[in-house]
This record gives sequence, C-alpha cells and structure tokens, in this order.
Amino acid sequence: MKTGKDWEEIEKYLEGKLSVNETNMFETKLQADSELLQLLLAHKKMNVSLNAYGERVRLKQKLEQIHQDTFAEMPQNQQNKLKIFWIQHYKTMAVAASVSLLVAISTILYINFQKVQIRQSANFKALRKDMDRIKRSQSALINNLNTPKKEEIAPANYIGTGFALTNDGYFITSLHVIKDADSVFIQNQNAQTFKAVTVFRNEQSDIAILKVVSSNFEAYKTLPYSFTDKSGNIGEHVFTLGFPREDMVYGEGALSAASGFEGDTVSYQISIPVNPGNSGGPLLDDKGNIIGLISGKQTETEGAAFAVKSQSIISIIQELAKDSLEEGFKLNKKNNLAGLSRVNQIKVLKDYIVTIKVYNQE
Amino acid sequence: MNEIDNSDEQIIAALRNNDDSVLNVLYKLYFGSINHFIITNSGSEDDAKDIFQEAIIVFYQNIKDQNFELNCKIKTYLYSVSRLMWLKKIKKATAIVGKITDFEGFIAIDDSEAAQMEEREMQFGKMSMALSELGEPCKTLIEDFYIKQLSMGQISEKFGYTNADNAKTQKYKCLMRLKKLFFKQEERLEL
Repeated sequence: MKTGKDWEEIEKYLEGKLSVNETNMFETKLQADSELLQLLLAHKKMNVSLNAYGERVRLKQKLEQIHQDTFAEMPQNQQNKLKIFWIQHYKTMAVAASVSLLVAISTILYINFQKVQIRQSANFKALRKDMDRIKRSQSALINNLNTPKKEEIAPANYIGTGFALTNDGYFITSLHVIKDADSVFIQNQNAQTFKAVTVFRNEQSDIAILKVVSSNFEAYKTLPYSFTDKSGNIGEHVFTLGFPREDMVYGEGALSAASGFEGDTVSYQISIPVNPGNSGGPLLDDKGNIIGLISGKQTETEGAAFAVKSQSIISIIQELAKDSLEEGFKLNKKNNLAGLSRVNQIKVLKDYIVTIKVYNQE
Repeated sequence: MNEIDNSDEQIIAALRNNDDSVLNVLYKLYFGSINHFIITNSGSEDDAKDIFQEAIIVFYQNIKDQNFELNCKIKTYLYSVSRLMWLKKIKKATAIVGKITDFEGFIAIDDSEAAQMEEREMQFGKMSMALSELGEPCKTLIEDFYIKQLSMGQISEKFGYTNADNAKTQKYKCLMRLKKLFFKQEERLEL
C-alpha cells in the first residue's frame, strides 16, 4: 500500500520539482516498483483530466459571462422571441395565410352565389314567374311579330307551366299560378296564344284545370302520355319540362321521398332543380308516364322540390266527374313514349306543354 | 481593438498567448450567424448559445494544441463545428432529421477530429459525474484547486487548515477518492 509520502513524490516528479538527483533515484525506484508506476500513471491521467476539466469549466464560465454582457437587455429578448417565432414558422404561416385567403374568397363567392339563388326562388311555394317590365315588353314584341293575333298581347304578370290534360283543350297547372288572374292565356311551342278559362280549382292539392276558349285552337289527336295511378318509387328517375324562362327548360333528377312539404301526403319530394316558372309542369318517369305535377320547392333546403302525385290528380278528377262537370274528363290510358329515348320523348312532349300567362290588374 | 486585430491570424496568436479577451471578439463576430442557423433549423436561442459555446471551446482547445492547423476561416470552422454538433443533437432527439437550411459554406469535420471532440466531451462528462459523487468538502477543495486555481495556501486558509501541508494531505485523500470514482465511472461507461 502506497503512502502519502510516495504520492507527494509522484506529485513533485510530475510537476518537475525534484532535483536531478532525486529524479534519477525516483526513476530507478519506478523501474523496480510496478505498483508505484501504476500509481504514477493513474495520477498523471487524473491530473490531465482534472486540468482539462478545470480549463473547460473556466472557459465555459467566461463565455457565459460574455453572453450575458452582450445579450443582457430584456426588451430585445422579447423582440427576439417574436423574430425567432417568425423565422421558425413563416412557412407554416404563409400556408395558413393562403388557405384563409382562399377560404375567404370562396366564402364570398359562395355567399354571392347563394344570394343569386335566393333571389331566384324568392317566391317559395309559388314557382310562378314574376315578369319584369323589360321582359314583358320583349315577349310582347315577339308575340306581336310572330303571331299577329287579335287576342291580348299585353304583358303577362306571371308565367307558369301547364300541360294538356285531355286532347280537346283542357290543360292542368298549379292553382297558385292562376290564382289572382283576371285573364289567363296559354302559349304553345309555336308561340300561338290562346285564351283560357279556369274551370276547376283545388286549393288542397294546388291544382287548377283550364279550358281553352279561343276558337282557333286545334284539338290534339291523342295525348302521348298517360297519368299513372301507381305510386312512384323512391330513387326512381324522373324529369320535367317547364318555362322558368322564355324557352322550354329540361330538368331531371330522382324521386326523393314519398311525401311532400312538411309531410304532405298528396305530393312527392323530388331532386330536380326547379325555378319560378316551373310550377304546373309535368313530372314524368323514365317511360314517359305522368307521375306528378311540379308545385314548388323549399327555399331553405337545397335540391328539395315538390310535385303533386298523379294519384291525387286522378282521384280529384274522378270526384269532379261526380260533382260538377256533366261529362267528366276521359284521361288517356295509353302511353306512346315508353320505347323512346329521352330526346325523342321530349320532341313529342314539347307540343303538349304550354306556358301559362297570367294577367291581372295590380 | 482595431480591424487588423480581428483578423484570424491575430485571434489565433492572441489565444495561443493566453489572451482570452479575444473570446469576446469571437463571440460578437460569430454568434449571430450560428444563432440564425440554429433557430432556423428548429432550435431555441438557448440551444444556439450552448452549441456556439461548445464550438468555441473546441476551437480554443484545438488552437492550444500547437499541432492543430486551421485550414479555413475561423468563421467557417465555427459554423462547421456548430452544424455538426447541432445535427448530432437533433438526431438524438428526433430520430428523423428534416432538411437543414444552411446560410454559409462549411467544411467537413474529419472523423478523427470529430472523435477527438467526442472523447473530450466524454472525459468531461465522466469527471463531472465523479465530482458530483465525491461529496463535501472534497468537491469544493478539488474545484477550488483545479477550476478556481487557488493555491494550497489560499485553500488551507479558506478551509481553516492549520497549514498548507494539512491541506495537501486532505487534497491527497480527496484525489484518491476521486480517482476511484473516476475509474469506476470509466468502467461503467465502457460496459
């Protein structure tokens, strides 16, 4: 076991404090005493380590001091944090900013689009069309040029759609289209206008039957479609033709529900985009059977329009025969459209679908 | 200090002459760019401080070694060392290292130099572990001698030893204890 004395010698030797004589003596001793040599080497290593350690700690302290002296000001620190945040996150923020810009723009576009939509369907249930002054005069002009009839060519106040109920001049439309009418005219595809009178109205189902009274009206040979007495199936493909504008407009969709607005059982809900002017138009299935009559849409719900069921129409007409009209209506039972393509179906149908023009004194 | 004093040669010469005041110069000249580098690559200002100081220490120790030859600008060297250390640190922390954004050229720190850096760091770690296990009064005594570089006379006065010899005996005992702890540490690390 080595003592403090040996160690003192080692230390002195390492520090070079031994005299030449003593150094020689110590080195001889080292050669003989391996334990002493081990001790010397270990101590040397410790010394190196400790000195390096001390130097490093001192250096670190110095640098820390410099750092504090250089960057001591607090407010700048606060500012730095902001700067650091910016440096680290500017990419993310740029992306976020672009996204929010995009969202803002698309929201504005969407809202504007909605406004247009809302304006279009301001008249919720009544999808008859309120004609503005310019259009009125325009259409009057067209009528004037094309069909120089003696009959009224004054501007219509409202426009709706109707279609032939029988071949001999009875047409069906929505009651709300002709409700306040002083006079009603129907206009066919050839822009011929005929005066009509209302012969029947049913508030509950919102349907009205018109009879053409103009003498120049030519009766159809037959009707190409029939009114079906079967319930339509949900999901069934349906389409309509109507006059939300001057030209006939085709719309298609599906039968969405077996009941109408607020659970109304005389109607279907359908997913056809309809607009003012579509009211009174026929709702047909793929085979060309009339399964309903377009009556309106729900303003706050997108894509929900309604049509009175053909069953309701049939039963009303049957009741009617018993009550008022002596003769009653003979509804066509034969459908000539079943085998045709949609385009050809429409070519046939267009002659039987008419614009209902309504005049009243405001 | 004028402009010429700040040239690389002047700084190195001053460091070799134990003129530590140039550390201040180094700090002011180069901390900014390292700070920017670390912060851009998802570090904090504290990280930047630690890394930069480590880099200065590496540089300082290398300069003290007369065999060391600096073959690029000090600025580039500090940036390269900092970059290497920061990469190592984030690799340890996250396993996946994203793209590193660089702001200036850097040199590759060769493997032997990197190994030396690591070895020094490890020795330092072992020593601080050993010291932390040493207990009082030995810890303070050793620190006073090796870090604060107090003389044995000053130490015996501070600790109330009757003379410097007593202090020396105490230091000897402490060193023996520390040595045991240190080598134990070594074994532990080599396991």
